[in-house]
Amino acid sequence: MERRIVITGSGVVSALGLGKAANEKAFAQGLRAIAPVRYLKTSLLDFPVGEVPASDDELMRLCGVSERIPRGSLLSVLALREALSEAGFADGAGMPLISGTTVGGMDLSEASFPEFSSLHDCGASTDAAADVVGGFGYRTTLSTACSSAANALAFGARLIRSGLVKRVVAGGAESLSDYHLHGFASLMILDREPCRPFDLGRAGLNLGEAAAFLVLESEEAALERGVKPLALLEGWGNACDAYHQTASSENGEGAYLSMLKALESAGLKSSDIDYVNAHGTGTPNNDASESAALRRVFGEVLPPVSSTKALSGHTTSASGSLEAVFCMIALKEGLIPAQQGLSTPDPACILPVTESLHRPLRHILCNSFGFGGNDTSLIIGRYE
Amino acid sequence: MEELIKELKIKLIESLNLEEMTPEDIDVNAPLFGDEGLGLDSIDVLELIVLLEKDYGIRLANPAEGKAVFASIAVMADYVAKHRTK
Amino acid sequence: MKTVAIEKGTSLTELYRSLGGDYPKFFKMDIQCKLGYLLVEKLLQDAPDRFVPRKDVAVLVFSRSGSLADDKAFAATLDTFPSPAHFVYTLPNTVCGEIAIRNRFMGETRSYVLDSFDPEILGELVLEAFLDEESSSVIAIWADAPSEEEWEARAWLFTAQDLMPAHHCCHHGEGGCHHGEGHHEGGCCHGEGHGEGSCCHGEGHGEGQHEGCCHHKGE
Repeated sequence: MERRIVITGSGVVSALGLGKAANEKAFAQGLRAIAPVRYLKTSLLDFPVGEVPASDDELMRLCGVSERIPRGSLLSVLALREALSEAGFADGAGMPLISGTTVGGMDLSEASFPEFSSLHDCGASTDAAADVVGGFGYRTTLSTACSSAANALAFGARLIRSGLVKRVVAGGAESLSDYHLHGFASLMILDREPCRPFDLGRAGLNLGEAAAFLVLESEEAALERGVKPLALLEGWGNACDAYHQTASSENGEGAYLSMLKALESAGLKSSDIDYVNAHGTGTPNNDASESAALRRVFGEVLPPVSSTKALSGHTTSASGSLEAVFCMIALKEGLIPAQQGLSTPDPACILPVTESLHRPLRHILCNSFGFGGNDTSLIIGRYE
Repeated sequence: MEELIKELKIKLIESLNLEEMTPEDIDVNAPLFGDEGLGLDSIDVLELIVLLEKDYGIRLANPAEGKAVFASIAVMADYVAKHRTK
Repeated sequence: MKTVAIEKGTSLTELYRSLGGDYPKFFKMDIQCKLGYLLVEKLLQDAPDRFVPRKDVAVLVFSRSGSLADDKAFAATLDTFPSPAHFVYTLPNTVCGEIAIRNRFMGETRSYVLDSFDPEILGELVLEAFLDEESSSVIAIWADAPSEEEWEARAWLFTAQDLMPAHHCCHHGEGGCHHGEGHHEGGCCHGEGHGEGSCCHGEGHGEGQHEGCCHHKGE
């Protein structure tokens, strides 16, 4: 029997707010935090975003730092502290830190040295956050675009399962940047309105920013410390769509494979899944492709599905861990969130949940699909 | 129109990195997309949309419009001739 | 284990043509993807059943520069007309994507940015990839291109045969283990051991050839 991976702490900063309490409240209310750009320095103001409701100066103050570090690092510091505190640690306590990010510290580079915006590497932004929080051991940064944080969680779980470590801190962070806002706009996949996942009229995604981290431990290590686990990271699966740099295949092959692998690794059947937190970006392509994959995995009878990107926006590298936190909230509250932004369901897509459902939940499947076809699925389960 | 067609062929080859093609290789009426054509893809549509705005001052609203306009060099030339502002 | 390299200064277009040249998308790729693509073409030149979709080949890409060359190219277009063709390559892991699309690999793909070429990290991560029983071979690539003209490009193809049989069972201890003590045939071993083949770390008694990523004190 493989050792179980438990979650003993979580921390989050997103457009829904700073910290879990704010995020839990907004999640329960189905509050859409998509709004015009407020803090990011950009000329591109046509597209609404899921921006963390704090300026860089406010974040610096909250973090207690006087020397400027990237916005993504500031978000990470807050999320890390919350996760560590919940797990009962004063700091990194020698644990490895695994963070997923793609933008890294580009917000600073592009503002200060536009011609060098490409020189500010991802690892530096993780280190900046780790140094402020203190106490971490091994650090590494994964960058697989929108599946980064999900892959960071899977990697952390594998490290524990291999017996190399007893516990890790894993997750991801992404701040908005002028560079990638323009980039996504050049791909014409941004919606000028708040996004509408699985809707017939959907026109694209809203970029978002967030940081979310989990403290993962082997079950024995947690119980040894006398800590009651909050949830289980039951399974994970990663596969490659092998289709296109930025679009997903029509039959959602990579997504189908990653979901199957996650189920297999958790020792679960598709019928065991109580809710799917979809990748659901709101682009015509993803939602159609993901729907095809979901139908292939679940057959005729689908579990309830919804995308919380309608609330937070697409937080790219952070989405895997942000949405894992949302799944933990769903488990804790026994709440399946309704699909926000839905007016006319697309008959070619799956039909998401139209009204919030209150019921005890045991296993939640969470999808994160990245550019380059890097598809990852996680399963978060109730601890029992 | 001859000049414009020649110009478009050259620009297409350059901006889409069609390294192994010369303007003579491109049939004016051949579909640009799909296997029988030049095999252009969705990113190429986006680059062509940028090209239209940059070089001819034409703004297309979404990629779907692009596919129709870029059906072939002939269709594209026609559209550019009618709508160019540069 | 097989290894290939592309020397700096090689004409990539000529190399592409000499390897068959049947993939025009090559010319749209950024320098990092071109290198990754060509390295795999070299590695798999004589491989049977190429292009049959498969999940059992894991692809691990490492570099220091990531997509830096293309990042700069995209940045140069930001003020006027941001280029989507450049933007799609401004991620280090598009190399994995392009290799997967070309070769129909649907298994594990991973991309790492390191401070420098680090054989130990590469070795550990290659070993870790084999922990997934679905992966029967691993392609590891070091493709570091800070610009269109400067690069380091090497790649290795490891198969399960390069590892010794009981590699799954444990990381510390005796017997079929590649961390700690034990007897190791082929493949990657860490710690002490008696090794054949490539990729040993720490002390070891090695027979045969040690190519590619290898640090060992051995005989």
